[in-house]
Amino acid sequence: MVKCFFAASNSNRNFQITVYVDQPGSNNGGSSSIAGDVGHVFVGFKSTDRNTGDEIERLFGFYPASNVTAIVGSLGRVNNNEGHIYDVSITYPVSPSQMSQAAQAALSGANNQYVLSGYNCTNYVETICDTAGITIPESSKKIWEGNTWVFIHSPGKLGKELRALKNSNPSLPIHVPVSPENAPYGKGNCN
Amino acid sequence: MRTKKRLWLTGGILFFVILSNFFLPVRWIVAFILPEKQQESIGGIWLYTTEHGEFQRGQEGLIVFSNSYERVMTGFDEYVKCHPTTPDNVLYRTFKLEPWQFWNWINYFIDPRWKYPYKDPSAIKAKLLTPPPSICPNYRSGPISY
Repeated sequence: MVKCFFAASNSNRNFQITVYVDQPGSNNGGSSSIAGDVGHVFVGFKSTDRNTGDEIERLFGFYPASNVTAIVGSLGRVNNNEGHIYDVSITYPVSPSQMSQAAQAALSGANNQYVLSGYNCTNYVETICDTAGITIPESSKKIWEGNTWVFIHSPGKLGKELRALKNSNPSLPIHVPVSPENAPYGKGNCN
Repeated sequence: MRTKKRLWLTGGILFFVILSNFFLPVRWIVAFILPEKQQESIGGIWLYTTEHGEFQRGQEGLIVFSNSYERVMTGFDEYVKCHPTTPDNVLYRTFKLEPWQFWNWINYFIDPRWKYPYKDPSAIKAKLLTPPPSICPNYRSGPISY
């Protein structure tokens, strides 16, 4: 899925990383809705040929293999997220080496165990961005878990922070559609 | 005394059954107790399909990351709107109603996902030889489930 984003053979291309946030209900800053909707964070890798304008794009995100055991820990899996609905997104242009690092982080992060209040879809995308040297807004939200407060990285909180950032600085490359819209579909082939 | 105990026990069981139909933490407890195959009825991905599978989408149970019931229905409405001439426009559920699954007893009557006719996954017919054209230029059905 990400092999064409390793930069060595792609030096003639521009790269960008987009973080898409599907909040649990539009602009819900909480960790989940009462119906169990926790939302989703996924990432889009895009490269554009500087000469021809040809584009290669892939969108994907991290999920548990089982919804039942996700709360205590489940095998993780990376799924195709093209066309997935989102509420807010932010796009970062990156260098070929940053892109390469992000692609490596996407591959290695896919082997992690999924834990809803531990390493979840938001952490996966944050790790990819961190590795590429991109700092996305704080997505932690404190929740009470039995007898202690834990910090959960949640789509709700990340979406809320991105909206606040957009309000304070409208020139930032943050896209907030009027109503939730579909992310792009993947395009281009990796040769 | 014994009758009173029995009444309490029956009431407790009834209360648990009711909660297991609605209350997420209790549904979770039931899911954990069940064998893996049965867990699907609470925390699986429930597939909806048309007769020829021209439209297929999965609804997530227990935790919704991407596909709620509403999103499946929005996707189906969009499919029908974009393919007004398609004969493949009846939606089926491929998940079976099991009368012994007490955690769905009330849901069987009130949860809209059960109102769709059942189709066994093996009975989904081959795709149409000439699929009807879409009138929406950018229509894509998207992945079945996420």
